[in-house]
Amino acid sequence: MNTKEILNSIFEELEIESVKELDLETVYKDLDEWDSMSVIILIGFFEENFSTTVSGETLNELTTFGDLFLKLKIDDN
Amino acid sequence: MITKNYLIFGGTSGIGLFLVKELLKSKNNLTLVVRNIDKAKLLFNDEVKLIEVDLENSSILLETLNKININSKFDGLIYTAGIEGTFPLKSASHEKLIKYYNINTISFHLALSFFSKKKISNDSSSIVVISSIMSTIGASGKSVYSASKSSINGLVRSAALELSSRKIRVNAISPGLTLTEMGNALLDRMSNNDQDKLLKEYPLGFGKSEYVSDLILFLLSEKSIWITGQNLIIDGGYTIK
Repeated sequence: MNTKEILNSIFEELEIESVKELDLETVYKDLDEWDSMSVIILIGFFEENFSTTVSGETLNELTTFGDLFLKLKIDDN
Repeated sequence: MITKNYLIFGGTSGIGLFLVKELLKSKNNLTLVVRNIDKAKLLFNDEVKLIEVDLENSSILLETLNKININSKFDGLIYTAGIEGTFPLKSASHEKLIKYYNINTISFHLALSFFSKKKISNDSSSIVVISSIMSTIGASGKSVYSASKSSINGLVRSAALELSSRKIRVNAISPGLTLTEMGNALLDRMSNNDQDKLLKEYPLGFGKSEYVSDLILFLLSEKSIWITGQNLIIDGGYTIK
């Protein structure tokens, strides 16, 4: 998956309706849908698809999807 | 010192591991049903008898248990094996349901079936299973886990009545958040701020393996001779509010 496809998958997983699409600059914590269950869903998403564990505190510290992908070393290469 | 024979599911981590170490101190004879026999061998050498079964594949459990060479009958069954997870209802796939129920519920049910035979267990035995406070309260993202643990509580009540004629006691223990590998993994999914909030919900703080292990030891002992069919909550006061 490239970053665009990942963002689309996250868009579906989080059932986002407040914005039309996600991009690397999107501040996930500012999304209307963002709540404690979103944290659980995102953690599960990265575990299932990338076999990588992101902690709740990491999600709390970072702000944008770009920051998160950088932390998880996810890029288009 | 009277040594007893116990059949234990789990025992290589968390509450189960702490319990096994305590029972070995008293020179009891232990048969452990474990998923990873190599890990168990490293932990216990030849101190315990080991049976390797992946409880996710519960269909072979009875067949495996029936092959155990019983030198002397068991005095207790302790089921500490389990799987915990948090995910939304929409992620509750058939595959996940089968996995959680196999490990948390069906394998315990089959273990009870095996243990209930007169040729397997002594009269006045004690059976203890680890349930969860999530069997009595709800939480967002816990539907599958809660349901699988709630099933245990119903099973315990009926089994207690059925086995009472042999004075066999059957009880569940429902711990709150206990600082085991499983508990720590749950905390890791939370921000530090949310962890602090959760800790404040526990008047006596988070639990430790030994707190739960001590309750299991009590239920195995004759000091609990008049307790059966119960779900004993041990959670530092989390659910009393």
